[in-house]
Amino acid sequence: MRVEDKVHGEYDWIENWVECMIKKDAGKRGFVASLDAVFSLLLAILFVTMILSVIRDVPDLPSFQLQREAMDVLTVLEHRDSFYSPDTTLAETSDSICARLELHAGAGGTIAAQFVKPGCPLSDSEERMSWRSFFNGSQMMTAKLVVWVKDNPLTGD
Amino acid sequence: MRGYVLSLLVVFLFYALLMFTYNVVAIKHVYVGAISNVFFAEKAAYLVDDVSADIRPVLGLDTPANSTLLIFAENFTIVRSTFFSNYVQFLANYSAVANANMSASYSDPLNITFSNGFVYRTNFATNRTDFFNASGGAAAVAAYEANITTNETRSGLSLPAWTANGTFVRVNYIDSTNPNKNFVESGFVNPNILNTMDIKFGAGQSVLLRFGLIEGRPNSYRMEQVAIFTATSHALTVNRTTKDAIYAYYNVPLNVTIAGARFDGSVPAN
Repeated sequence: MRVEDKVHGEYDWIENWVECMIKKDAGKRGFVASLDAVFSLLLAILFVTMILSVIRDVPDLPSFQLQREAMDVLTVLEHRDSFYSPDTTLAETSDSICARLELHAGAGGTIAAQFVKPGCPLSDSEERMSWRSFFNGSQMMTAKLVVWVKDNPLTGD
Repeated sequence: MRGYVLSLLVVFLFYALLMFTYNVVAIKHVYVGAISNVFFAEKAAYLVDDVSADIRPVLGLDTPANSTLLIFAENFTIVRSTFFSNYVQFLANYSAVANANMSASYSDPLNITFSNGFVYRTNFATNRTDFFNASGGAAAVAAYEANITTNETRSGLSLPAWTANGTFVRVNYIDSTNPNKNFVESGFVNPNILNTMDIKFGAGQSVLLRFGLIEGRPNSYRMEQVAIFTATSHALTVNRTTKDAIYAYYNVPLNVTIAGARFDGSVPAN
């Protein structure tokens, strides 16, 4: 027996079964077609759900970049010893970045001072923050730098 | 029949699209994962630098780029034992704020240990500061410059025996209560014998600056306050004979653990 005949022979039963089903339930073809459509729809929904679930797990890259920017600014502020006069350093950040610096007594205690980068609102809904500790000569303090993208097309800021 | 074939084709099409999307997202995940790991490592390094910067007001080290200089600055107005005791407690609270697990420990004396064997040691209990080569042999130092500020007026001064060559020494003394008592003295000393500059304050009270052979270590440096605590600041500039890259660490063990990164070692000093 040739290979082609063997293959055809192996799949003949499917063809016979389908023909049988069509002849047997010829009147129910509409129902089968509907079932087929529902099945396809379910597959489509399953497909979309799987993709969305996978995409949703992807970390937020701009968030990393904003936190990195905040860490960088805080490091510069400490090396310049300018936590209490941060305007120059804040003004040197990118034009698209807004920032608010809070100085807290101890580890995140009461706010002792607050500074906002000139030209920026006080806060934003898409804020990211970083902290840095420093010694002000008499006690430990913490500086909290909150940053966000100034011209965020999603928030309209 | 054609409908079923069509359905099968659609299923295969969906499957192909699913595989394609899965691969694209998987590649993106690998890419983002790599960036995340870098970020977490950066954050851990940032926190270690944060701790290092907090210690610098007590004892700071500056190593200018492409230079042979090591510049130490020590602030004696900060009660160091209290500072470190409070700081260890502060770190525990700061961990919650910084979203990290941080802990440090401290014990007197405070050292800065260098990769080439140099050690700067400040002992709070004995009011003594030393600089020496711990790896054996004379410290490869061409010159020492000490700047000392006191809050009491000195009564006398005894200089070491200057020589024609050897290690160059320069002392800049600032008397914050009586500027007339300020002085700058300099000269060469023999690095293989003990040389002492005695800044006298009263009966048995002195600030001693020693250069040369100290505790069997040639070409070392010591600043010691005897029966008095008058120095408010002490800065020492060490001019090395070589310009090789050098790394320095405080003897302050630090552990920083955040999601995705960890640091377990001594706090860097430069």
